[in-house]
Amino acid sequence: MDFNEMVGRLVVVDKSEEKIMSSDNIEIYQAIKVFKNKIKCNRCGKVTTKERAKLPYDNYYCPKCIVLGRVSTLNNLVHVIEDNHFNKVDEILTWDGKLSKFQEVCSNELINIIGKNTEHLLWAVTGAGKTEMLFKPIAEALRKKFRVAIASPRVDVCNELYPRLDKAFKEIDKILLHGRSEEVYRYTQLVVCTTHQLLKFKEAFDVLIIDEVDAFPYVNNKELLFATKQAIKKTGTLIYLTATPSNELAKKIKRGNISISYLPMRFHQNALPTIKVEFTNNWWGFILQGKLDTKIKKYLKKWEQNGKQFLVFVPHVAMLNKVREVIKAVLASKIKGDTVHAADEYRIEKVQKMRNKEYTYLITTTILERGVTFPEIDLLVLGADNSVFSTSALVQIAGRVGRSVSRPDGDVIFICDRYTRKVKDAQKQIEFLNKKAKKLREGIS
Amino acid sequence: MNCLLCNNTIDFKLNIKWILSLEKYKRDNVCKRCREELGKCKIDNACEGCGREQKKLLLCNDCIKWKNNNKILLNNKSIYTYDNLIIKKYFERYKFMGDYYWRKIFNIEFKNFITNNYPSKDWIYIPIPVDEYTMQHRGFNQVEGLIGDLPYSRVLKMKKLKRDKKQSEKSRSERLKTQQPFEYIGDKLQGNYVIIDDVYTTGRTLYYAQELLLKNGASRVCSVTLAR
Repeated sequence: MDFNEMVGRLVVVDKSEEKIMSSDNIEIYQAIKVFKNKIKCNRCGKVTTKERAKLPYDNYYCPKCIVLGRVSTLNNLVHVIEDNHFNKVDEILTWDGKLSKFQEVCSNELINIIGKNTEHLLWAVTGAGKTEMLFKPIAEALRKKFRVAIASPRVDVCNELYPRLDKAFKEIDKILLHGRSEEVYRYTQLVVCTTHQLLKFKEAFDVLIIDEVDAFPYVNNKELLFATKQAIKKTGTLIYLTATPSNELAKKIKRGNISISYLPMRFHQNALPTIKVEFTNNWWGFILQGKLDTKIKKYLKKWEQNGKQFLVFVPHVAMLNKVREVIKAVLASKIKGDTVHAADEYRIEKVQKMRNKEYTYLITTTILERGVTFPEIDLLVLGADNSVFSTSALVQIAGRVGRSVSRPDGDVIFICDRYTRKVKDAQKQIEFLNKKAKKLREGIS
Repeated sequence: MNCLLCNNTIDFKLNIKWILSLEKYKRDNVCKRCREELGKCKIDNACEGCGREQKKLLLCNDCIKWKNNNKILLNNKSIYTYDNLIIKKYFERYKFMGDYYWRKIFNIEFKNFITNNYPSKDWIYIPIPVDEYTMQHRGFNQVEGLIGDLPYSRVLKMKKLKRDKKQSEKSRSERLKTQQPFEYIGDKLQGNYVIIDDVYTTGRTLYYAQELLLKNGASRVCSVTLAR
């Protein structure tokens, strides 16, 4: 095994295969801790019953992180201590874009914390230009010979981030790691990966940035916390990015455990579109009868006349086809659209057709809640009061509207049978951010 | 509990009939939908020699070749076809990733299948062994895992060979050319024996096992595999 490539990694090694000794730069850990009825994995930190984890001859394995390669009592975990040996490059930052005044302020705040052993949150609204604000702070870290990782719970987000970073840091060696990527691991100064992949590192990163920290599947999940703690150096800087902080993060901010940069304004400096709630009486019942509530119809007709594209969100995949039938019947036949969901074979193609304006509308589930930009759309959330939509999902969905300079506003219509806490909170959050943005604008001009 | 295959929650609907039947609740570790999907992969009509799925019940071309090579056919029986996503995914997870618990997905079914075809009062069961390297790395014999608590005897052992490729990484012609991989470690045999393996691919491995058992006194040797 080439330990030089494995620096900063937590490597699973068979006990029988190689006799590795602890040394100055190598630490050896027990892979699985065995208790009376349970076992605990030292890579992912999760506890499993012995019944589920059993192997013959009193051996045990961890089923929780098995997709990263099995860890069992037949293995040891070997940690090769990070030594930051990177090649020097001539030009670190190869990005020549410009930040707005407000973006610049946040970006500078981030530069200032690089190298400090602290946690920081960049709370920037949807469409604020978060990635661009990161470029200079990352460049600063790379200049200091720091190892940097940007991780997100969502593969889509990683895939979108990587090419942008590749352009901004052309000469820096980097790698994209997730369950479906083919790339073989190698030692690089810059790493883009899913948060799950962080479990394969130990005390590797001087700067760790977690993008879309509130995204599924890590909401309220201890796993993210464990993976983060595992992968970052004890002296490291941890930066969270989000447009919609979870309650947990909000509590942390209140307690003062985490410093924060705010950007309540979009890059085009217009306010966020506000949510309009329309109340219906059993809209789904209407759909099941092949009919559409008149309020919903009114908006569809309006958008049809304006000739703009629109999105329709529904709570469950199983609702998609029924909703599509009814909507199709209401609109003129020349208006084309489709449904799309997470397991859809043609997911990417369909989204591309929407981008190309071959489709006027898409009917979808929460998979399109974040990370996608269609410039001039309106949108409708059917059953926004359904429990599958969290407050942050609702704010993210609303954030799909008004993302371009050419049309910085648009309709955000929530169709509800009941007025729920989550819908109320989403409205409040957007109002709060808009108030903040207004203050900021007035303060500067 | 969630379904091992699709991870959706398994719901169990109470009904009067079940409550009154006083039967114990048998919890499956796979959801109904996945069981149905698995059901579609079952082999109905098969070749008498190797258990391959085919329309006619006669011998397939491969079995005719075995016969011409003076082999007594194994009369292999298999439950599932190997050539489908759900079974391939299963073996990927169970055997190659090493999720030993997944043995339980087929434990009961496989055991019943074996004893229905070859009742235990007339037959002795012999699972195909794994080599020492696999035992140290995978930590289990996948065949012994699959048959659960079915009593079996260990009379075959993998020879210590220089390790080249895994069996599953070889092409068909490479597999057919492999040498006798087993050695016999038991006493003199008598009676009927069923060799049990996870997958029947070319039959080469199973015929080598059969050869050794016949040589050591077995009167009849047949085979059963989970997939074909």
